[in-house]
Amino acid sequence: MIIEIGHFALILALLVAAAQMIVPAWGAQKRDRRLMAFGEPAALSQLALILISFLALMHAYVTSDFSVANVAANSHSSKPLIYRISGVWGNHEGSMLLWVLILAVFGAAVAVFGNNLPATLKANVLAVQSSVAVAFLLFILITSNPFERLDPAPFDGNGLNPILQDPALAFHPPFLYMGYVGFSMAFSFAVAALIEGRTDAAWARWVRPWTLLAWMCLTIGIAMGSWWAYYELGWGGWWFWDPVENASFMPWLAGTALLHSALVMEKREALKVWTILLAILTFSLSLMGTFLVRSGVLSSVHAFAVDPGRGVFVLSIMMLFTGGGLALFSYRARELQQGGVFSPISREGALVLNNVLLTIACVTVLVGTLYPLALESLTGAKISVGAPYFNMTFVPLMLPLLLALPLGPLLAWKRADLAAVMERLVAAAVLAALVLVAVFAYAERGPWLAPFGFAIGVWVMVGALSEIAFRIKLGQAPAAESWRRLINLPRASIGTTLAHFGVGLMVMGIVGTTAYKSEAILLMKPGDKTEIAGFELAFKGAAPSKGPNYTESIGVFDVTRGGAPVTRLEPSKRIYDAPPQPTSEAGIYAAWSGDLYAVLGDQQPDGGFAVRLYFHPLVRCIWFGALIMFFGGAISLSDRRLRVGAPSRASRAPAGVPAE
Amino acid sequence: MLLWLCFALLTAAVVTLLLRPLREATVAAVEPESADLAVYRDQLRELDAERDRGLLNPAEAENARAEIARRLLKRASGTASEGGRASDDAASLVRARRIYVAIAALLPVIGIGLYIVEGSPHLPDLPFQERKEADAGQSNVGELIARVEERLREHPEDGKGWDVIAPVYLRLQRFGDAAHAFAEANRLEGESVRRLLGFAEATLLAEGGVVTEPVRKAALRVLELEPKRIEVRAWIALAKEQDGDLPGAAAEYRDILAKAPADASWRTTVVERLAVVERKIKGEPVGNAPSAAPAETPDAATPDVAGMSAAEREAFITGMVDRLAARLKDNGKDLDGWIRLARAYKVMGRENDAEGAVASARQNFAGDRPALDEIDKAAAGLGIADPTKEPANPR
Repeated sequence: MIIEIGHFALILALLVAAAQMIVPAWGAQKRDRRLMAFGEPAALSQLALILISFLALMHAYVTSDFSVANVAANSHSSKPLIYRISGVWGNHEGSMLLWVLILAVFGAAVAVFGNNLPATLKANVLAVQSSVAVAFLLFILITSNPFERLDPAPFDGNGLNPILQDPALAFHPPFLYMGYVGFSMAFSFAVAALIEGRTDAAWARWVRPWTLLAWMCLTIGIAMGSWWAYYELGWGGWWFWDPVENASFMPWLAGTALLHSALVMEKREALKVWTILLAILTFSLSLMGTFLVRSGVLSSVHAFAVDPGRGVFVLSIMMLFTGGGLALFSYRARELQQGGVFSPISREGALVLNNVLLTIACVTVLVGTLYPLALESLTGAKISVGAPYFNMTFVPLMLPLLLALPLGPLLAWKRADLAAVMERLVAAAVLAALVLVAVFAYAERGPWLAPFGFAIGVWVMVGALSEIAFRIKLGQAPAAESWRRLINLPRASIGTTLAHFGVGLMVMGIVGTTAYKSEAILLMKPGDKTEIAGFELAFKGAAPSKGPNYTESIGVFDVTRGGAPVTRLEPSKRIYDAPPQPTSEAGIYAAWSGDLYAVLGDQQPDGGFAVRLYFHPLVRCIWFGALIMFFGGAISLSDRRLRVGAPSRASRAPAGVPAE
Repeated sequence: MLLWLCFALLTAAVVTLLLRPLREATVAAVEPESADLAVYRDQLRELDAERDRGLLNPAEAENARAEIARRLLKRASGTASEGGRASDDAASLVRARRIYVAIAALLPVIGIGLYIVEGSPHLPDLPFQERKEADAGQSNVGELIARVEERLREHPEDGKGWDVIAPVYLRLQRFGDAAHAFAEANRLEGESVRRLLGFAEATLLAEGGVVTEPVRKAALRVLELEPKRIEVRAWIALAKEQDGDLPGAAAEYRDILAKAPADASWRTTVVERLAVVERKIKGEPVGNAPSAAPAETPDAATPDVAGMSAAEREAFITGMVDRLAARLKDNGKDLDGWIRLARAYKVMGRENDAEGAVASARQNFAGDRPALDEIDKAAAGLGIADPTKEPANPR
């Protein structure tokens, strides 16, 4: 019964979403308060209904109800509880349900927290947001209904793909979707603004927290995916320029650009047209990411034909919203007035540079991702665009961006004094130069570009800190005075500094692990010893073991360094019961200097094992960097400046709480 | 009944919630101008704070102030002209009433209607735990299997369990599981011709009709234990055929026919196979002649590959090979799988696909020297050239 209630709630949610799409927009057009106010309860009940159906599906997974086709296809009674829960979104239908759930969460958040928005804007935003929900609810109910039943029910399910049975992957999709779907907020705001025909500094201020939230979640979601690929796939890499990864990376690049251009729009009312366009495009890229991953186009163009219904449906949704948004944009763009003027050397100028570089980078990734697909569908030729392409195109675009990054926050609006800014960055420049020399001296035979990479990382990190140091007059005022200034600093600027610092840390990690990785692939028999990156590894042998729903053989490596014991690595090869599929679990020893990473391969006829060993210097910095960026975003989001602007409500309503 | 009651309550709750603002006499709303003014006032405050911190010099601060003030003024004058457009309350009430009726009427009707089309109101929830307890008495095959499987997961050393379940798997066409179960039973319960034959057949079917080394070894072992089972030699002949040793295979087939009883059911299959091999030796086209599993084992009657017509057999084996190919596409780290696939394609006469399989295998194991060596060896055995040692083949 519970599962049927979930199904019914999903159908009701579609109807509520349809009403929410029409009534508030009509109200905004007629300036009718009753109709506009309809958006709030509609958004809340939409969320409640989708949550009911999501929980109903989760209940079916937790109790292993195999009369539900989706559960039978993707779960198994022997699966541990956490993977029965994460199994809800470990498949197509369930993940689409999570998608609309998050969409509804954002819609409800606007309804609840959007008290500072003008009624017409809020009504239009809720209507546009709901139109996205209608499209995806239709998609779910027509092509991928998770509530389809089986009668008679099979006794047990097929199981979840074992490589998805992993903690990082349990949380990766929700964050990624919060990012993707969060950009629907920016889209809704942009379209609502275009419908009303007013885009101004206030609009930019209202849209920024939503963009920031989406960006944070996408950042951490991508980082989790990368971390998972690193330790679960056993290839020892952290980023593969795989089309699925690119699909999430493109909205991130566009979203990062949007975050920065919205800042210019808020402060100076410049870059209006561009910001609106970017808001539409960022969400389109999110939709494209969903389309690429969901339609099966990525693994092969022919998988498209396997379920043409789904692929074509998502493609139409994408074209409808991108096309509709852009059509409205071109219709209204002429009416958008340009705002403040600025000289090239200014904060605005720096942010424009940031936008130009990020957008071009996004286009290069887009080309690298779509070109092989287009070529295959046109000519049937299979090519793969891999790391070399992206190293040649993407990396050179990032260099000027990173070099200019510390300058940006220090430049004044309108017209800035570059010399004065450089003066404040002397410390960063000197430290970067020192690091350059030190790395050259230490790793004299290494790749000659790597020391420059480290220098750029230090430049970005110290440059980010210099901005704070300047703002609190560190060293120029008494320590107590600096401390007081630090406490009083707006959280948004602390957030900026942290996020930029995170970028620098990530650069260090990327350069370190790319340039100085050691790897060895060898055949080891029990008792064999080998050495990598200063560690001695002794292979003790492999022993069988049994997990809740798999059997594994665990290899034991005792690691010593200069005779002193360091750790014991236990990489394993698992065979899951259902479906019977092998996975390899890497044995990883994480140290500050880097990760020692061992993968146990197949046993050879002579009793030896194929063993792959890696040392990844500084690789943790990549994910730490992302984590710091996430927290930077969170601190920024907690800044009251992003929440204020709550006006008093008109007409006989209780007065709104003043913000400051 | 309870289900429909729940639906009714849910619908009623949603409708009530939705209609509340439409029923209210007047609704509070944030006017655009006041919202804008709030933002601009905040911006002015921030500006003051920044100036006080010394981040802006007085001139810059004054400029920024003027800019924000201009926006404020523009907004204020803009709203003055819009002021007359405020909504007419009577018209609003009419609209609200219409929407009220529409939602109260349509939401339940369409909702229930769609649900009746899409939903399955007659099916109860079936949680695993309850079913296990409820069905303990009367069980069907699927549930029995599940129960044995669960037992075997906990006691993998239970040879009897494997012995019981192996032929059942084979009958259900779960060939991989069957092969594993036969092998375990053979290991734990002692070697027997029945288990060896079962293992060989299951493996053969799981591998898409390709005689792999374990199958060949099992066949040889059966012959050692029971030399009279000549039909098993057909597998050995097939292995030779698949390895490209056509004269050897032909000789083996002839020998089998010479020694086989005249009324053996599998005779015709061997005759057909021999004819195919002879045509191949002469270089005549044989189409996509499948490799067959000619021997019929006593225990496992289904699926009887030998008894199928040529077309059925072809479809059956093509299906298996395709499944193997699909599996490898998902998970390319299966060296044996790739070599099997290449060999199967070769046997089926799909030269290009065989080359493709070898190439994919090389790609998947790029950098893995021992694996690459093995691929090279297998490719050489199948007569597939290494593209890296020849002018590149632009495909």
